[in-house]
Amino acid sequence: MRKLAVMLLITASLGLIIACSSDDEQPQETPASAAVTQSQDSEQETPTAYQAGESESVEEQSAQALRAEHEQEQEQAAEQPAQQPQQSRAAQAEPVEAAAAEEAPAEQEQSVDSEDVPDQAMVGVIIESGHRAGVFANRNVLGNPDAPIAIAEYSDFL
Amino acid sequence: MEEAIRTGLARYEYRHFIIFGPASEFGAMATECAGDQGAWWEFHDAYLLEARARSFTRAGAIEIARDEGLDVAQFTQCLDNEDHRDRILQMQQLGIADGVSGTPTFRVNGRPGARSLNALLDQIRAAAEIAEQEEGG
Repeated sequence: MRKLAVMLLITASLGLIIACSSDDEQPQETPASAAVTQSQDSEQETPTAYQAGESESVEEQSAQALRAEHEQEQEQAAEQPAQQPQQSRAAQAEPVEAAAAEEAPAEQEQSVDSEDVPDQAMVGVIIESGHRAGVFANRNVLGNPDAPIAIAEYSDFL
Repeated sequence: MEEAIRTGLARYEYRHFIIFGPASEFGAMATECAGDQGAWWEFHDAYLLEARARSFTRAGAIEIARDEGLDVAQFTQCLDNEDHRDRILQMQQLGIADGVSGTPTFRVNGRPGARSLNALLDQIRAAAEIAEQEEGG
């Protein structure tokens, strides 16, 4: 009987706690906060002269992202030789095939420069390979076509 | 940026992205027609300067082509036939697929380029550091 009373007491306490916590989670939008939200919405809708739709902070972080990505690649490259001795001969044959598979896209990228590639296919290949491809022949490119840094500018005359 | 291009560290690529309608599309086509005769950049630079002063006209484009020493008959035929319309549309599609919606928009090794010159130069320097490390390693 005493146990039953204790259990009832615990159950009631738990119910009370749950009820209180669910009340706390309810969003309480005061008129002030609602006004702020509305203000933010109207700021977002304001048209700007530049319409690229890219945040400046994202762009400015790009240089850091480049460095971070490069460091990550270097770490992966450093880890790879350490793991290699543990692999069997059969397993060692796989990277050769993988390397051959990697060479195939490189050949495909080089063929992008060719005028023989149908225009429609060229767009697809360019989009797939991104900046690495020498897009649209060389007439609109300044500098070494094989340079490690590719700067592209989308521009209009006016 | 000029030094990076001059020393072979970077290449700069211009891509047409038409946002001002037929007039700028005409300018892009005229530039490509000049490119057929090996004068893409010369025509582009001259046209950009002249067209701002005189607005974009067929006669103005032909006059610039003549000034640049191009074969005017070939240039005019290319312009009238709209030989490079598809090429320009392809660049437009590439830009749209690349997330471009305004000009100028830069990409540095495929990543979004900054709008301010200093930030853009920082990105190029960072890319140069990486390229040098890779070359050295």
